[in-house]
Amino acid sequence: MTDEYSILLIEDNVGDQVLVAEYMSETKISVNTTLVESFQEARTLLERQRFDIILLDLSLPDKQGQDLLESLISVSDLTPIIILTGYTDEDFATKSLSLGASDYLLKDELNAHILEKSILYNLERNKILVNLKESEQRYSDLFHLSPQPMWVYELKTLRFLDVNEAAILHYGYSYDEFLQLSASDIRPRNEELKLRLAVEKLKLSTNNSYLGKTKHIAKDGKVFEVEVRSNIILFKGRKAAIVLVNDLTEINQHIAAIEKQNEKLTKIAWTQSHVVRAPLARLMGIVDFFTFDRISEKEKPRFLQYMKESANELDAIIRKMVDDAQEIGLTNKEEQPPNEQNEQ
Amino acid sequence: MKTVIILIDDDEITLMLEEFLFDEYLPEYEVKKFLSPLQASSFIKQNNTGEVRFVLMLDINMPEQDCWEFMEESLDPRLTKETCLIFLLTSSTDRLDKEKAEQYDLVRAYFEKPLNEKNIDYLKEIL
Repeated sequence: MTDEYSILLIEDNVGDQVLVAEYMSETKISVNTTLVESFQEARTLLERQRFDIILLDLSLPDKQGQDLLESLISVSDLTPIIILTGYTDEDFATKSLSLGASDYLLKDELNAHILEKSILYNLERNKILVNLKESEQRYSDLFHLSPQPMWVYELKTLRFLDVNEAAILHYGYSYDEFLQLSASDIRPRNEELKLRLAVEKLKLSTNNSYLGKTKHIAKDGKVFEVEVRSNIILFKGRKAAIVLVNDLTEINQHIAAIEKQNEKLTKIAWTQSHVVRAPLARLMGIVDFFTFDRISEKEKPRFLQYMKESANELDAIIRKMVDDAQEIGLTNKEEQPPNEQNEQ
Repeated sequence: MKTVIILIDDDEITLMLEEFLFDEYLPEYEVKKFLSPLQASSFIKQNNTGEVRFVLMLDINMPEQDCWEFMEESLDPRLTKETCLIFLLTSSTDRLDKEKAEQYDLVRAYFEKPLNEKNIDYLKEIL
């Protein structure tokens, strides 16, 4: 048992209706034909039902020719349309293919064999077209909906061929402005040579890709560091590079913050090792002197003063260390626990 | 051979305490104090007749010159292990300083501050 194909026949001429129905019954494929006689009817039906194939007569009472075909395409949702026409309309029939019709059949040459072949052929071809369209849509979505700036530029001229929404937002140029620019226009002036080198590297690379860091400049003149990943593609028949941009500004800020913190930590470690122990060692030395009674009564006040100075110095250093640590968030800045209220 | 004890430290009180210790435990030696390592090195240069043995109590961290710079750049290169004995003194407990000290021929020992009787006893044995 083969599949049954649903076919919409749009034909107002009773003679032709009978003819098509007869040929259809002679084919080896199993079909379920629905007949309508005007564009209006067809449109109403197409709104709630899908067909595998549409057979269309080009002269209907409410619409004819190109207008009819274009109107039908707009409501047929990728269903292949096969045009049925007489000799008089042959010129337009040829043109109809470029307008989006899948095939045309001359009524005077029509037979079961030709009809069957056209239906099967166009069904198969349509499957491939739909797949291709979906894959193009997927690419287009990946490109246009990417949160990171992306664009395509022609390798020969460096001109932009396509840019995504994120690039428009990030660089400040409109889509049309972008298409007037070349890849060198978003580089700071002295980076021209670097761009040429990068493009050469991309062309010579064995895997058609290039990853590098460079600087870009936005429309408002702001310069920022970026990581750029380029791949060679064919775009509308032209050799082009598709580029994914990663703005490093934020990452660089993080790294700078971490480096600064590291520096402070190193300083604290050094301070602990050297500065803190200096007044402490002095204090210990003086205490030894008292312990072993090496100081005369007369000199004692002077040495006590030294002890006090050393203790104050140590105190100041420790306070400074705590402040430094708090500044880089090494200690919890939790509030002091509130005084407990005693219930009377 | 005459022996001169050279105390080098940027901290005045520390110098004074060290001087007291030497006066008490090693009174037989002449003691010179220097807050500046550069002044100490020029004193040594002037008095380095080959007949004098210098015993240096050298602070590691000083703003003018640390002990490594002092030993490499300022210290009279004619000094030998016989005419110069260096004892490093540090308030730090940094292990790296200790390892570095071992690379210098003239350095005999490494003391943590404050200088105590044990250190002096050790000195007495060597001198």
